[in-house]
Amino acid sequence: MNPEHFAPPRLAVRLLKLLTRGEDWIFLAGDADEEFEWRAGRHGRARARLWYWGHLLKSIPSSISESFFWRLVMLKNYMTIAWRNILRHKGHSFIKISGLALGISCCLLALLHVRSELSYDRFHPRADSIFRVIRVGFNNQDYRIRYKDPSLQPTLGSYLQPSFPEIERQTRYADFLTGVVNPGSSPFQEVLAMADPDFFRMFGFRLTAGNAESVLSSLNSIVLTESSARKYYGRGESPGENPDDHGRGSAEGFRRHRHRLRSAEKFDIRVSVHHSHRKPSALYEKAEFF
Amino acid sequence: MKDLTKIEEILLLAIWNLGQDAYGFRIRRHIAEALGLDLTFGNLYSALGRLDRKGYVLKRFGESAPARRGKTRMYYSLSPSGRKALRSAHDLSLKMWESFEKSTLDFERP
Repeated sequence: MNPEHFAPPRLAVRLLKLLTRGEDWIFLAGDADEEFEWRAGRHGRARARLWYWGHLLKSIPSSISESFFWRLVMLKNYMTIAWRNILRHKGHSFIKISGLALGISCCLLALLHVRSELSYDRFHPRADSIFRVIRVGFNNQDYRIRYKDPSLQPTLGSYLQPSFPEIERQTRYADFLTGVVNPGSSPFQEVLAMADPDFFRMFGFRLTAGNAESVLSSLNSIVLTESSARKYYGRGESPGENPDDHGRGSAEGFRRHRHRLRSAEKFDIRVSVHHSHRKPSALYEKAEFF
Repeated sequence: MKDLTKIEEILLLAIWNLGQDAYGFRIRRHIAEALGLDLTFGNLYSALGRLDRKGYVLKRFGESAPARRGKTRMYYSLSPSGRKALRSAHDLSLKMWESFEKSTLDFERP
């Protein structure tokens, strides 16, 4: 008969080798082989194989605990020593531990702040291809101080787009306007933002009603946040009616303001730029490049 | 004098009993036949390692056998201090049981 047939299961032998690292392995495996052979001679090959496996599985817990137990004991000892040292040098320990805690917490807070700052406007689906155009200027006296200014000429975008084919869409954006609402009986001010029709095609703001492709494309159109829509129309009513803004606007839809905290733009009502009767003093330029 | 655990005591006894023939397989079979204890190899070898570290056993490389597929045997024998430890363990348990026998040796008694 092929002597290979009498060999213990190969996988079990490898497992045994894994469990008993070190030089003892040779003697241990030899003993296991010898007992396997002895059992095979008495009870047959199948029983011997079964014994080999069973025996191996039985010795797994003890071999694991053997390797971990003393390490844990040692670790506990180190902890005890550390604790006693802390108790012995109270003032010193207090300064060191509180200093470390302070340092770690400051570091974590700084990290959280940076994370929050870097997460701004990242939720837009194509955030990596939307760019804000800014103006870099120098002071008048010696032209040495450089400053950055997001205010641009209102017509810049429409001039840039034909010259740079990389620009797919561009929109202006101005959010520091206030409008008088309901000028008749009880007028109040409302913070408005103005934008070009492409605004909702470029950014990921979701409309709960209305079409992102056509919104703001007509003159005198307006987009409301859900909260301001509730304010003007009440809960559950459909948009599309003229808001009471000189009778000139038309509500295109409600924008869900879910991302408010994470967006640089904090607006309530968006008005189409086309219909702004006065030229705003400055407009933001946003252009999308590819 | 370091204390012997029960399994170490059993192993020392088995090694002593087996004399020249004390290696892993024999020790395990001997314990299984004499005491009906089925030690796992993990138990056996960690206990043998402890005995070796305490200096109670001496190790000696032996020959191989066909059944071992070329792997050599490791023979164990008692060192003088191991012999001493075994004797003191024997004395201790003898004293222990003697003192017990002075009262009534009744395991059913609460």
